[in-house]
Amino acid sequence: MEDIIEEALDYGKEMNAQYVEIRLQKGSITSINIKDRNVQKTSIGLDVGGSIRVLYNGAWGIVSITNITKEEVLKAVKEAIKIARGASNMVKMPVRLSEVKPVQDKVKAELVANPADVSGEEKISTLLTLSDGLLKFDNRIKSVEIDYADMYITQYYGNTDQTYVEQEKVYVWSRIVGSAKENEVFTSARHELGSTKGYIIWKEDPPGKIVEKMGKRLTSQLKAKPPKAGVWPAVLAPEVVGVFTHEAFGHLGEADLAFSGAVTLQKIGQKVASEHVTIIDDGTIPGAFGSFAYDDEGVPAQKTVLVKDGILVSFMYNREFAAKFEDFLRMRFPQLLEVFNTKPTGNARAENFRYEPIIRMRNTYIAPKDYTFEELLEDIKFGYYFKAFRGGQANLDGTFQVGIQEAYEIINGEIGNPVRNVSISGNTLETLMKVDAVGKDFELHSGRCGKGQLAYDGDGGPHIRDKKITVGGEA
Amino acid sequence: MDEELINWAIDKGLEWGADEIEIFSTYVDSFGIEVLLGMFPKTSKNIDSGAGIRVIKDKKIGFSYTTSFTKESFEKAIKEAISSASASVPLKDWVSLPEPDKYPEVRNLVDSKLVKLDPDEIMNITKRIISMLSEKDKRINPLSISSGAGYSKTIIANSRGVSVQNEKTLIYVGVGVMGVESSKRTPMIFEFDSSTLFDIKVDPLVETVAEETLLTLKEAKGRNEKATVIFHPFAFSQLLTYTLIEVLSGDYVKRGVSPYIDKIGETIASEILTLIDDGTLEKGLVSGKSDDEGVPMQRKILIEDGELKGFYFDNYTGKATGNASTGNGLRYEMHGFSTTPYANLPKPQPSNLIIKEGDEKLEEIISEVRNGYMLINLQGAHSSNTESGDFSVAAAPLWRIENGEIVGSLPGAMISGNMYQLLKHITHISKETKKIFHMVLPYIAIENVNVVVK
Repeated sequence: MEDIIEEALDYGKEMNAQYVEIRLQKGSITSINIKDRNVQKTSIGLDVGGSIRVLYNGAWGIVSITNITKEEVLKAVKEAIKIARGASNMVKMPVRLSEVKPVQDKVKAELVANPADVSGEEKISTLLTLSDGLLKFDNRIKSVEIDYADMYITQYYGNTDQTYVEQEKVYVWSRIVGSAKENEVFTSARHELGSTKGYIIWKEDPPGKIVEKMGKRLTSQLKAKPPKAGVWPAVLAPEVVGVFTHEAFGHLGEADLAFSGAVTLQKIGQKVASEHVTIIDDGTIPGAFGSFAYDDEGVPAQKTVLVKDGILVSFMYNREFAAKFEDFLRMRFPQLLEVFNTKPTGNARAENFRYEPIIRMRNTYIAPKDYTFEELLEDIKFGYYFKAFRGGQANLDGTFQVGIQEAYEIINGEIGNPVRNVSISGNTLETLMKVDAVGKDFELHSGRCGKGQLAYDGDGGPHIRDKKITVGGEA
Repeated sequence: MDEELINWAIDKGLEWGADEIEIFSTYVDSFGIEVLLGMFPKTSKNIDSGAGIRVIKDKKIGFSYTTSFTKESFEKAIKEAISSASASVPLKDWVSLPEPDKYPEVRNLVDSKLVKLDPDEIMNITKRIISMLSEKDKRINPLSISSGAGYSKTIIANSRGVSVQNEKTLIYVGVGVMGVESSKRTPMIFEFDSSTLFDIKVDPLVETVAEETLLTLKEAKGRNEKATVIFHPFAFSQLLTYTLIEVLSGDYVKRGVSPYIDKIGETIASEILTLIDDGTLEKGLVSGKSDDEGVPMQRKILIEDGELKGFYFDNYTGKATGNASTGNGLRYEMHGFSTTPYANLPKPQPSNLIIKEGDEKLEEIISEVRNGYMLINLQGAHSSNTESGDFSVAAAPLWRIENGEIVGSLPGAMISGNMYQLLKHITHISKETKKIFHMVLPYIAIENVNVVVK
């Protein structure tokens, strides 16, 4: 592979490309789907392909292929240059890549347990135990669907800036979705697990405990009542803090979206949250679902502080957008270069060879502080406790929405009745400004995020309290 | 992707121990351009080919796929599929793979101009949009302008004698802009068009985006209330996808979790609602001779004048429930997470979904609303509760209608309700329809929708 890459890079340079990058991949992907007690899918996919990315006259040309013989890779380089050249008359500002130190490295996966050493029978049997356990937990639980996947990917990466990295990436992931029904009330619950340390997800999070947790959530929500719509104080549990941090703030902290005019663009180096809030995106937490050694531009992963004590101090970058922000600040606000990071942060990730690397989060969280859970609750006369989420979404204008699957009333500082079908929404920065207390506990959860392509990531934090959150419901 | 290799693979699969075997093989060649902020062009070309191999052994399903079209890779994939099946447990209600059948001829799915595509022609569309936008109001900022086209060819063959080939071309254009006025920002305003033929028109897209952006910049006041909301096809398509469409699938029926089981023949929606799934729609994005497991595509009415007429099935859920496949065994990912079709097993998914247009113009519908709203797009449809139909989403944007006129937008508003109840409260359906990917939808007015303002 290394020789094909070397030859293709040379060929691109000869054809006058400013920059060439070749990423070849070989992967084996196991996936299993269980619906109730039926095994509907057991699959082992053999995924091989490559991505060629070039810069020519300031424009990008990207080609992906599934046949990666030397001949086809060279053809793809030529094709990438051709389409980039075709678009180069639309360039109003040529793309520049921020400089990084060249790297030569070979990274082996460090696994506690290799999923390839576990038989298909054993994987299936664990999933069936889980499904059966949930269906037996309570007869009001009507359906369970479990997806499981593990993938072992070897990636060969080289670019014309003298970086060459071979990297093994291993992901093990599962998601369980259950639903319950009583009379005309339906509830649902989901739980997601992931690791980059191998087949240890069920050791870290045993099936018995998952059944207990999801079973209780499904049945307690059957008795829940709808929330009161309006603006209320709220305590968010780590899982909800995680999805809020990822969806509501995180996407606005991605440099490509910020550059496109997200509300954060006007807040560089300024206060975007209360002084209790520090937000970090970290690709170096061992075993965490969003961790890796090098991103898909060959830049080492790192721990990036985005918000420090309420002040916006960095975005998440790939090489292109790090350069864009450096140029932008130098031209317009040079004094900000001292307080705001514009160096690449190692956030360029591609789902696989079919996609180009774009700016993605890794493990994103709010850093813990000093409150206990009881202290967070005690001043609230009436409000809500949001314990678990189902999905969320953000928009460039700074509005977010997070669906909640488990929530309770807070009455006079105590947890009260469950409420269901809740979702919260608001303006992200206004909401972050109203965080008035941050807990001392901490949890990190595994998840997946879609931004035209899929990325595995983690998110989390401690419990936090917010003075004002918009709760949707009956008008 | 030669047929000889596919036939060889079917013979070998049986020889190596499969009771049944199916090969789903695709070749896709596509080109796209996206220009960020009207300044930074990015071009991409994808050549993706692969084969999905499904085997059945003692009613156990095994699957594998490969991106390499050699005998060695096929042999490896077939053996992986057989060993996957061996590790699995029997699917007691499995009957068999599809049988050979007669296929419909669907018109206008391939445009020869798009088969041998000149990337420059696609790039010119984008250039034109950017230049049109630059002549519009300065408050309208291009975010992402994209266009692309592609050609795909699929062969489906199985050991029961099915052998069918589908070809299709596709072209799309997307215009995403943001309204900016001092510190005010609109959510992304987006218009989109697609077709199987090179016949899309960009001028109306640009006009609509510009109009919608300026309207959204104007702020209005609303209050927390239950009111009439007119759903734009964009907003409605997302809510449909995560609620009604899902529970009309054979999968929900087979598992006994659809709220509509045993409701065939009952009125479940306003009598002005008719919903059709049509895999034979001319120029339909999900049209073809066959679905992705070789069953003929069909047109079927799911809801007629408010009455539930039927569900949609793939081969497995159709046969297992004593029905038959309705030609909805499809391998694309409706919920947007990216995968290639050959890496997926077929499952019951809608083909082209059509809500029959009404007989009033949108303009007339708006003019009849004294106090109400119009929802253009939304955030968070995927957090809906599919089985109950409950949803609670952020509006992006929501327009206020007062005395028959749109007066401005309400930033930060939320819309909530129960889809299955709201279907009964549809009061108007517009004459105008919009194509949203695989859906063709009109504007739909519904009363009694919860609106929560900031």
